[in-house]
Order: sequence, then C-alpha cells, then structure tokens
Amino acid sequence: MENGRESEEARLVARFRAGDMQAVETLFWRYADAVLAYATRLLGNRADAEEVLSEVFLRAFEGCMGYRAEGTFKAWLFRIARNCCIDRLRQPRLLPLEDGGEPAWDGDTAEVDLRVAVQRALKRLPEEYQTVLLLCDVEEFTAKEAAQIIGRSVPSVKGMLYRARTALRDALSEEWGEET
Amino acid sequence: MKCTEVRDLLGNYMDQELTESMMQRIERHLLRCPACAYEARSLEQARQLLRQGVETPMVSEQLGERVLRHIAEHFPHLQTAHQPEELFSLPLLPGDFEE
Repeated sequence: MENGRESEEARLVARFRAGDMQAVETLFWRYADAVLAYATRLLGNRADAEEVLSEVFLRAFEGCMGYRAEGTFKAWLFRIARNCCIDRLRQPRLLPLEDGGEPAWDGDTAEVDLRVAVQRALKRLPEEYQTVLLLCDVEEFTAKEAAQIIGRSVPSVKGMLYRARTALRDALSEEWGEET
Repeated sequence: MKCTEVRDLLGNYMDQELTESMMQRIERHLLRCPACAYEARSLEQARQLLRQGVETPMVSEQLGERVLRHIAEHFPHLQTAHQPEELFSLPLLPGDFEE
C-alpha cells in the first residue's frame, strides 16, 4: 500500500515537472494540514507556521525539478519543513511571540489546560527532542523515516526518542505539579 | 529479566517492535516490578497526553489558495488546465521517492 502511494506520488511529481498544476494541488492538499500542524507545534505560533507552509512547498517543488528523492514524498516534505522551522527559530525577533501569555485556544477548560501544558512542556525540551516526538509519536513516522528526516542513524533516533519521552514525561509532570 | 535489560527495551516495547516472546517476557517483568511498571505506564501516558494535547490546525481554503497562487507564480511552466493522459506515463527519474 505504501509502495502504491509512493509510485502514485512519483507520477504526480512527473506531472508537476510537465507543467500540471492539478498535480501540485493534489500533493499540496494531501499534506498541507500535516505540515502546518508540525510547523505550528515546533514554532509555537500559527503566523510563523503559515509562512513556513508556503516556503516548504515552494522548496519542495523547486527540488522536484531535478531532484531524486530518497524515501517517501511525505518524509522529504517534513525534512524540508524541519529545516525551514530551524531557520525561522534562529532568526532574531524584534518582538517576542506568545511568551507573555497563554495562547488563545478555543475549547473547554480541560482541553485548553491540556494543550497549554503540552505546549509548555514541549517548549522546555531541546529542539531535537521536540522533533523526534512530533515525528514519531504524533505523525507516526517510523524510526527509519524519522532518521532520514533528521539526518541521523536509526539507533540514534531510537535512543533519542526514549530520552525525549522521558524528558516530556518529566516536563509534563512539572507542568501539572505547578498548577496544583 | 533484569530491570536494566527491560529499561533498554522499553522504547521498542512501547512501539511493539519486539518479538512476541520478548514482549511477553517484558510484560511478565512489569507485573512483578513496580518501578519498571511505573516507568512504562508513565511514558505511555505522556505519549497519549502529547497526542491529545498538540494543536491540530487546518489549512483554510483561503490560505491554501494563497500558497498555491504563490507556487503557480513561482513556476511559470505550470498550466492550470488538465493535462493529457500521456503525461501519466512520463518516464520517472530512477529512484524517485524509493528507498
């Protein structure tokens, strides 16, 4: 099934190279939500994530013009997304974003509390831990795919994932502890 | 099994990447060892909280159209019209998205 999707996506890439906008739209809408969600979680704010979304797909299609990708199109897209987010996080800011208050989320109180605690706990972790947790435990990439995305070996990703899960548990427990 | 062996395999256990017999050996250990059982349960709980608590924004139609317009402007070769069937059989570059 995965192979079927991979070859279908390779055909869509070929159609893009030949000038078919429809193929671009198919690939874009297939992964747009996942890329936006990943960037929002990593950057911690929606406005930056929306800018990154555009950049990711532009870079991806630029790459498609002459690039032979390794792995799935989705894994390749997330690799670009991660690099774009890291670039964005390194840029100096004139004004701090969302550091002074709670993010404005809709929903019931328990749901909002959970989101705030998870977002805060994630932000306390090193970027690599956040990335590996978001890729493996949220997006459900395999360790092999995550290794391709972040440019590490599979054993290294597995070790990092375990340490990241432990760090997240500890950070969450501190977040809940601080509120009681 | 010793606790250190179980801790080393706990990540693979959570991801169900072990043989059935190894999964069972770990489960037997977890029934007898409260410390390792706590470790396994709390890590799984943190993973569930992460899945439930992360934001799941959706791309609005307006944002999607803006990005697609941006892409179309960036690549002058793109045509909005549907392409003829022959394009489906364009030769692929060897190794396209294959591992």
